[in-house]
Amino acid sequence: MLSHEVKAHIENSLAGSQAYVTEFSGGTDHYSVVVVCDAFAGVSLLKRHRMVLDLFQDRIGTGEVHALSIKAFTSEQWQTEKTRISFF
Amino acid sequence: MDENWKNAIEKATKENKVMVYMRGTPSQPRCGFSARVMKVLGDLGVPFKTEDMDADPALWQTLTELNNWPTSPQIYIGGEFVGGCDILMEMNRNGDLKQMVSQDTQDAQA
Repeated sequence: MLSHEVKAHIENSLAGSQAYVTEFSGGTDHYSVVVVCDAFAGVSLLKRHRMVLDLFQDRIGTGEVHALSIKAFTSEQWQTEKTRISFF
Repeated sequence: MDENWKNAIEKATKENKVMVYMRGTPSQPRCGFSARVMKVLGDLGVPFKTEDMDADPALWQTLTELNNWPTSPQIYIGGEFVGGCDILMEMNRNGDLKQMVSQDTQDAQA
């Protein structure tokens, strides 16, 4: 799965979301994603991660996606977090 | 889902305040995410137990189904599934992890 496909899949599946995607193995199966979505407001960290992981269950099952590191923020949180995040 | 593993997971997560299902062992983790979890727990000085998810595909499958979580590592605190590496890192950063672990210790002592 390519970076832009990961991004499109998240943004098309979670209404109003924005995804920032980095591949970190040099291939096409280890992804680090930041997902910014106001549907995360009032939702626990575990549930936020499940919302994103659920979109990739099939692809993780087949090995098409091997690793998926997730950071999930509301747009309000993202305003402060984006100055802090260092893995881009 | 493997019934033997399901029972073993229930037992292990009840008996150990912090239980980590990971790839490899604490001294030889087989992936970067498992290694980061070992580092954080080690730095906190928290007692924990681990099981190698690579040892048996049936264990991996059982954990995936139990927690609706397809990846490694999978971490339990106080018998509850809390998530994977990213969530543990965030809980460590915001202080929740330290609080959960010390709370459990106080409960055990009470």
